[in-house]
Amino acid sequence: MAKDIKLKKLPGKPREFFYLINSARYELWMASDHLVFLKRNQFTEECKRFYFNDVQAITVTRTRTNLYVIIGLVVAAAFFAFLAMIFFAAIKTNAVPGAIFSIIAFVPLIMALATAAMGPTCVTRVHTAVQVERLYSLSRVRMAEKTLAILVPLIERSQGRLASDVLDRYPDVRIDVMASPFAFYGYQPRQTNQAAQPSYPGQAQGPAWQGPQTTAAPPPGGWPQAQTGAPARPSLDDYYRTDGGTGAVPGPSNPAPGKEEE
Amino acid sequence: MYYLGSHCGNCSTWMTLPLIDSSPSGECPRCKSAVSANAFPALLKVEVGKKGQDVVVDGESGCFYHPNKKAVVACDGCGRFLCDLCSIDWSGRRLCPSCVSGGVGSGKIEETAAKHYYYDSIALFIALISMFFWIVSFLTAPVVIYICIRYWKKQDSFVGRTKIRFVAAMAIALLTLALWGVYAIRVFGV
Repeated sequence: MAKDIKLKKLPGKPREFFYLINSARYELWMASDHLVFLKRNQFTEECKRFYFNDVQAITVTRTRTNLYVIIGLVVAAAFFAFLAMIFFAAIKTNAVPGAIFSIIAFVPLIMALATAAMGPTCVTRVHTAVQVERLYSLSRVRMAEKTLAILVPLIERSQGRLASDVLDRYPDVRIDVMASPFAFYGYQPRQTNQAAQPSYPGQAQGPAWQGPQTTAAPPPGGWPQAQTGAPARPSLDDYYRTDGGTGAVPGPSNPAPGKEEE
Repeated sequence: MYYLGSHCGNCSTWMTLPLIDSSPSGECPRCKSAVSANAFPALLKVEVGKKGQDVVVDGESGCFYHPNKKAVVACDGCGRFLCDLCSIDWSGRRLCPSCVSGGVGSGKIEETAAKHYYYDSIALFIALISMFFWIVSFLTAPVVIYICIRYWKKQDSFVGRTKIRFVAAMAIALLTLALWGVYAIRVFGV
């Protein structure tokens, strides 16, 4: 495979934060039409491919791991500095023990400074229709932004850009494509009934959480009724723009091409 | 407006992001972590599965797997007639499901390979570890040489790999055997 497909390495930190526990190296490579997420151990390498056409979303969530680690390292440095001061004060004839603890105190301090310099941490996930994969190599916000600046234009070149007018046309449609990454372990993540918070002043509040769903929520006033009288509940492909950007957006009264053939 | 349902990457709380454009952002209602997303048109796309066409004329060629469906293409791998449902478009080729599954299992279709073993690292590891347990090195050295010869050309990697580990492992194994040879000559006077 490597002979035929040329891969280009993308920025990223190859190891997880606690790399002493997990020795695997994670790398992100890019081919002309897909992304390769590589996990390398001592004797094996495994890859997962994400074709640009299949990527639905890439999410970046800032985490506080960086802060907790810095606090831990500073506490450790303070502890060893305290020990050094005690030794300096207690054994005035011999400064060696105090000096040793002073040097030991500097190690976590330098590590804390290095961690702070690398910037805030994050969890980056790539979402497709059938999987949610965490990209371990993108565990720093700066690195994730750098990589996304390369990836997003390529994915948009492959799929096109999500048009704002299509998004605005139908109100209150929520798309729950992002399956829980814990679903395989039978773990149910905490759920809130809070509505989506407005991300800017004056924006309407989003709908309250009603449980995972894959179909569209009815707009105000309900869905339009079909001629037979049965409630017509269009699926999401009714809203999918298939006109190649000419402006005609398929909807309940204008089915998407290919839908009549069924 | 569309809303993007997601789990927070920090606390796994369910949350929704308003899709005002292709790069929505917000914060988790529970842990207040900032979340940003890049959404793409595949998000709204619902693939509709193909249905094979029924045989309309008696005696018309049918699909190998669905005899009552009309054959539309022959498999590029085995030549079986396939209906629209069974033909799989694979890197410009039209293959049947059994050719694809057979290719995946045997590694004939390289695009499906998802795991590679580093035989060069295995050989080097055995060669190095046997230096510490030198008493068994007369057994491990031939094993290392066998691995190097057997997998010299078969070693593959997704991102490319040099042969330096194979060379190093082979050199250590040959040196070990040479030392054992010298030892045998000295002790047994062969």
